[in-house]
Amino acid sequence: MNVLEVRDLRVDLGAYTVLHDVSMTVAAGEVVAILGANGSGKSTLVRAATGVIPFQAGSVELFGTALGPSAPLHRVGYVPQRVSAASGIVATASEVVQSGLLGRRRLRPGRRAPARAAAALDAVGLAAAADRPVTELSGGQQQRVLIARALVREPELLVLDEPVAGVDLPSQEAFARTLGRLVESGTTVVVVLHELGDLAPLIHRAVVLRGGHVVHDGAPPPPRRHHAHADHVHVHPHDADDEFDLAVPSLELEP
Amino acid sequence: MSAIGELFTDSLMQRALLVALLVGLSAPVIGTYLVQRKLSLLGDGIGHVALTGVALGWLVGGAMGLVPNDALAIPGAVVAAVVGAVVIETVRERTRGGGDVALALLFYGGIAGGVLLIGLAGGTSANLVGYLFGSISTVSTSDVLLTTVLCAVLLGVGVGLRPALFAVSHDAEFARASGLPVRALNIAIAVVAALTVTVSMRVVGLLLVSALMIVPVAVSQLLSRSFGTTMGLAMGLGAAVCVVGLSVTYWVPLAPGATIVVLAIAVYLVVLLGRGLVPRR
Repeated sequence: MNVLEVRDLRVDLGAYTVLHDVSMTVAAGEVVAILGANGSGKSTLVRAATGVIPFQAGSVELFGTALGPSAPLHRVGYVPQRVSAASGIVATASEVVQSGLLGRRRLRPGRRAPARAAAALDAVGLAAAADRPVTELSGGQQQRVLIARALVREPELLVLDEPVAGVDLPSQEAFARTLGRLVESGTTVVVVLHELGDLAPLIHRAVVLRGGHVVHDGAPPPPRRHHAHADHVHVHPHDADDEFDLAVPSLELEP
Repeated sequence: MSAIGELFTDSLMQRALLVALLVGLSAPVIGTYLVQRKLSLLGDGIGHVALTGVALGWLVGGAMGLVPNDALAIPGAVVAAVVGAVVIETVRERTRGGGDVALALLFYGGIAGGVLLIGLAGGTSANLVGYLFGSISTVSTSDVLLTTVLCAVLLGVGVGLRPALFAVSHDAEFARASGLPVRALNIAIAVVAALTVTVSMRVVGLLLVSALMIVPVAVSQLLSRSFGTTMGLAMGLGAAVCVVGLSVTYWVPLAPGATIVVLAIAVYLVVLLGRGLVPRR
């Protein structure tokens, strides 16, 4: 049984079709990167696959159940693309993480919620920040709070939307370590990325989107040469549409 | 001391103080979620729409020959406020947080509709003044009962469902991906806001209702470091300014609603200026 199965998915935003007949599957234990330039539809794909936005045609199955009232969303941890974990009222990191314990049949987080939130924050290296307002944390730390909010659900499928874009280096490293541990423990991961960067060793497979179509589904594309430098900062929030050179011969040679 | 004793033995004042206490405690609960959602002015909008409900209740009551002819004013306000709040929420959802002009139309339509309908009911806009600015000095025993029941509902939903309402107000996208019933919770917030508006109408009036929901939260925001403390402190502050403000008007001939709101804003300014001296919790 596949953890995630997307078939012929079409998503329209207004009059504009963002995804055209996109199909992809993710098996248990796989780590799949969804790659593509801005506007290629990669965020839309994961948002539709987790039920955040509706789709116009096709189907999505999570753990063998179609997305809908009986979909097992409690087995999924979603990390949205965010600059900030704050809202109009101050909230502590622990309060934000505890909101991850809720679900369709769970409107209260339970008595052990603070302890579970503390453990999830510890997993992203923010144990000391539990009682601090999220507004006092750096952008990268706030992103880690949102990752902890997904981890506190103990998800079997973790879906992350650009978790390292614009995030400070210590947070990127902490994130790579956390992800490594999760992959080791068998968590299935779908991660939207602008490019593989430091996460490359963890990725089993890449699905590349361009203009709302899947243009590649297989081995991760190799990094472009100038990206391979150790000191290159892997953040390109506003790149043009040519991020991935899929014509490179080496791609065909990959197993 | 005897003057204060007198305040608490006057039965009219007892009823008024009880209503002020309950409303002061309840209004900031929904206010906290509204500030969290950056919808501080929603209460004002609902208040405008509720005015049409008051006049409509008056018109219907008059047509049915009820005595007094404003017997249906409060039920009318409740219905209009709930319908208005649900419409506002739906417009907000459909337009992804926009719908600015549609909301403005609804607000102004609410006031204009109220004035128009009260004329048709054979009254004048003077009849609306008690609803616009509050009429706590004429609280009856049945008003106290109704307020108690409504406030119990508001506190039950607002405090009882706090984790879920927090989650939806904090990040609706994540809440949806978690399987939370986002639409139902959003409607719950809208309905509770509408009930808060109608229950607070008696104390401060429709034009100042929003102040009771928002200003205590604004003060609390200056002092708190967590969502839970913000809400708890705002409830305490709301109750305190309502009781103290109303008590002042027992001796000084001031409008109770305006006194309460001015007192709350004064507390805000004092806390804002003195914040450097107060340790943050």
